[in-house]
Amino acid sequence: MIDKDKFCELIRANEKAMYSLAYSLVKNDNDAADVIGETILRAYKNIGTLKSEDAFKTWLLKIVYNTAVEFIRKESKVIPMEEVEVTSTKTEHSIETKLALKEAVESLKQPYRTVITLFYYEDLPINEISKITNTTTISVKQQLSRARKQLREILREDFNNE
Amino acid sequence: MNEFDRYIKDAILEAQCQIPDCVKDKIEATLSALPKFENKLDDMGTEKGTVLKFKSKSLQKFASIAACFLFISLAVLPNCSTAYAQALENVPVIGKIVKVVTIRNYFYSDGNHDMNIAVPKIENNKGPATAYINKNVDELTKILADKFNKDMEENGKKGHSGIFVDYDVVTNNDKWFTLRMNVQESAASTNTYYKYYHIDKLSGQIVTLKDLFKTKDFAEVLKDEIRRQMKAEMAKDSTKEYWIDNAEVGKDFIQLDDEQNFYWNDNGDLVIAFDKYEVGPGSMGTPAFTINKDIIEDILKDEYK
Repeated sequence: MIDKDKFCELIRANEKAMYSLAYSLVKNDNDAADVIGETILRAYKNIGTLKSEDAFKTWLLKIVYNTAVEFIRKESKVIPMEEVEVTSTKTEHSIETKLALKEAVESLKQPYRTVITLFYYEDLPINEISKITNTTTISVKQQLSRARKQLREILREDFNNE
Repeated sequence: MNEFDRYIKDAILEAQCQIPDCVKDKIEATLSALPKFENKLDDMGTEKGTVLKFKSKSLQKFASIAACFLFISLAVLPNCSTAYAQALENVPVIGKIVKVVTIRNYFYSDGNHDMNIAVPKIENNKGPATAYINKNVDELTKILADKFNKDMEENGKKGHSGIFVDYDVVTNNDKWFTLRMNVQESAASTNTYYKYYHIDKLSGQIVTLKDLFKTKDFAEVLKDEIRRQMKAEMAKDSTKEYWIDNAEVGKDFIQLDDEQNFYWNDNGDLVIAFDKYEVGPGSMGTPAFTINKDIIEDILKDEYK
């Protein structure tokens, strides 16, 4: 049984993961904060449905993902998933200035941005990512492959200079 | 891990993503506002089940928008009667310890529409009074949840609506038991409702206002006292307004029927409680009037004196 103190401890232990995922989806700190706040409430409300503490992170990130997607749809401020385009101005500017990894990830389309975030930043295995993003492991592998390719292209200069 | 993956991982480690203050603050604020899981005997000896009482900003915001309050109560008879004390020699029909647990929650939230309804159930007793209240509460909460869902379906993403239902055991002693359930509902306009249900533990019966009195003129006695208090309040404070002797609203709005809400306060005095808008404008909230024992002593039944 996870009590309130334990719940708070688990949330704090996963705050970076929550932020990374939420930010990858809403691309805005304030919106990410709102998504995380709502996620915490939902998670707390439904903590009884969590079967094992070991699954907490995946379970929590799934709530973050669903909450963020709802947020995006509701706000209609972000273009439907799969349709987010990399703005050429930003990309060009970013390449010229050897953009940092975070900026490079931010410039990716969805769902690549989220998959990259979960895979690289959160070290989550493919099957866990598929659970969080409500898709199949095959899809995640494809998305990851394409995301890597795009990321590599964006970071070509930096990477080649390594 | 291939070369590129290693490069990315190294870059991530180097960058050490920092969480912005606004996110940190939000997390801490949300965590600090979380309710506790209650699962203990309260002061009244009443066990509450796993109850989540959200006081979070989002729910407070929703509550502030909201509109309908429903209180379901089983009231308490004060220990103010010799006759009643003697009656305690008898074995109570309803046990001293009455447990109230949350058996169900209706929950929904999408930012525009919010629902959080806790459905309590009285346990430990299988008498008709508790069965009646359990059934009533169950039906009532289901109606509120269904109404919320129906309104949401009809309105889609337009507008805001919300309903919040909670409950408290006000009193639970040898003679009387009080469960208070709070429900807030919001839509285009706001309304406030509350209601008290009472059980006399010695008789095992649900008690309504009229059951407390020996005579049928109790309503007039109570109304006279309530009118007096209303007038006194309005004379003392010009911002107060009750709908009595008011040409604009017409008739006297004080109607005391079987559904009238009441409860016993800690001093053993009878309190008559009204819904929002029932006897005055919304700014008056949910007015309640304490009736001094002296005023009703002659007409109260002996067991309730």
